[in-house]
Amino acid sequence: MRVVHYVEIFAVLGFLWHLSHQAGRLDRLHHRIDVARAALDGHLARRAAIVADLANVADPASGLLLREAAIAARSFDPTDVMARIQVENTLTAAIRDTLEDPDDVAALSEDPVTAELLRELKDSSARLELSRRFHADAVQACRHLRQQRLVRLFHLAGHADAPETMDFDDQLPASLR
Amino acid sequence: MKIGIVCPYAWDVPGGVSAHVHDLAIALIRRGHTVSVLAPAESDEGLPDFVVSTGKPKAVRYNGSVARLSFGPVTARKVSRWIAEGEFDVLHVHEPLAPSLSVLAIWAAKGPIVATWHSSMDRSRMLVSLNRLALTAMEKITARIAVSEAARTTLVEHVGGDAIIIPNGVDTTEFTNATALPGWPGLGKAIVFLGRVDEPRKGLAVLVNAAPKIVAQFPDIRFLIAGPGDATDLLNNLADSVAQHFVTLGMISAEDKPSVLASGNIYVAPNTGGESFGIVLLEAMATGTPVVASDLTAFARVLDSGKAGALFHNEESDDLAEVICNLLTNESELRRLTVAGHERANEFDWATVAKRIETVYESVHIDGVVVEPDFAGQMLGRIGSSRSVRGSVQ
Repeated sequence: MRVVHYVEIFAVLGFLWHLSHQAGRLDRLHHRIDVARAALDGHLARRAAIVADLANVADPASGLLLREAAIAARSFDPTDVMARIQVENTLTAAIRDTLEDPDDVAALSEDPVTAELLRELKDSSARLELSRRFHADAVQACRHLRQQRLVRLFHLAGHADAPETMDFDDQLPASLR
Repeated sequence: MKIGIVCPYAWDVPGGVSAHVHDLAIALIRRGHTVSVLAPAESDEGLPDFVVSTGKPKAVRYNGSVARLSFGPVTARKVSRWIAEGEFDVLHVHEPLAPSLSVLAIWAAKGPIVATWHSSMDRSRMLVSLNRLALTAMEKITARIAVSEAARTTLVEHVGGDAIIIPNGVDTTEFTNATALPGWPGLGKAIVFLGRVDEPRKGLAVLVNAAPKIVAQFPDIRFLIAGPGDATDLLNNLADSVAQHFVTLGMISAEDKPSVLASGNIYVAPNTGGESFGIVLLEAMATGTPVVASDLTAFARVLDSGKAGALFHNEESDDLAEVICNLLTNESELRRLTVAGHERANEFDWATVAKRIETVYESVHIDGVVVEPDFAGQMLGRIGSSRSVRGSVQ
């Protein structure tokens, strides 16, 4: 009789540990997404700032395109992921449209300050692409876990929103790669 | 940046991963970062300032060979303390699949974690090592790097997710100016082998079995065998007339490695598998010694499909003997390989590679966020977390 109780108690404790463990995994994945997202936001803000600086030294038409795209990318609704992706795509497109021609890039690079800005844009885009991919990896792992039956049954994810990937285009034109 | 690097293999025993970590740490320090490396070590003597030892490793059979790894409760406590005291901006663990320091470090940490996969493994071995707990460690990694396409494939197929490929770097400066050991290679020609001699995957047996044919054609040839382990059993299989051509050095120091590699007319890498890159091939090429290697995918890639070094059919001693004999009789081809090998080695410069890894650090780093210890949270789950981890980054 006693033995049976021990077995049951251990089974219940084991199950509770399992739930806590799964919840812990979920917390860590959410944390990883938060970290990745914060890094991604930082790199996006940095890119927008560089483009805004570039707008000041580019020709008037390019400058207008770049400035508008950069301003849009810095004033967004943080809750609306789709809108955010849209403005980032527009910014990437603006960079491509204005800096696509290697001759233009070469001409701009003659000025040391502009050359430095272009180099920063290149570096920041490399970091941006990496952090976008790392963020997407984290989101995917988290979604996978949230789909598990026990996780859903016991509401282990609580009120945390389902994570979304930031799937925007960040490919620089060939002239800047 | 403050960077904490974890090397799962013994620091003072030569190996691909520990060499990678050593060179990466040096390159990062040169670039102005603060680096601390956590690694097991056979002895505390002679460790560089930036290395923190977790003590003597234990021998474990893993991935088809004996690995010397560090784990257990005492080690776990040391890892937690190192993380707490380090306040790293980024934690970079290497080869995180082994039951080792690397997995312990991921378990014990919370924050931006970068991991590098070095080896490619087949499925059965992966499944053994990929138990549930190891998988939960994988989930905490923010950024994944693979040193080769093979290592990336292993990761993608068995763990999921993706990884970016940054190949190994090679610090060739010590190797380009290497001088041969006194009296080597000598007039009778010499072949160099470097690697654990009692480790089947390093393929010394393939070379030993090729020796009779080579000796028949080059009666004064010598084989220079360097690396830890006892080669007596292998050499006992040979007739005395062949065995006397072998010179064994035993384990050599890192300082002697360039000289040893420069001491042959040919460097042989007869490895039979489990290699995902082949740093030592590039090191040999940097010293100007032509390389003959088994045609593993990783080696073929490093040797540019045979353009920068000769390839032979893996595990086929007869083919190895033929390739070596043909090369030794062809002076102009040897000279061509010396030049081509040199150029190839220059393409894998640590300065370039370290900069790419630094970009990964920058892509996961956030101002004001450091890696924190979280061992209880890992073990007990949500009830073990000292505070809610959500919302700590805003």
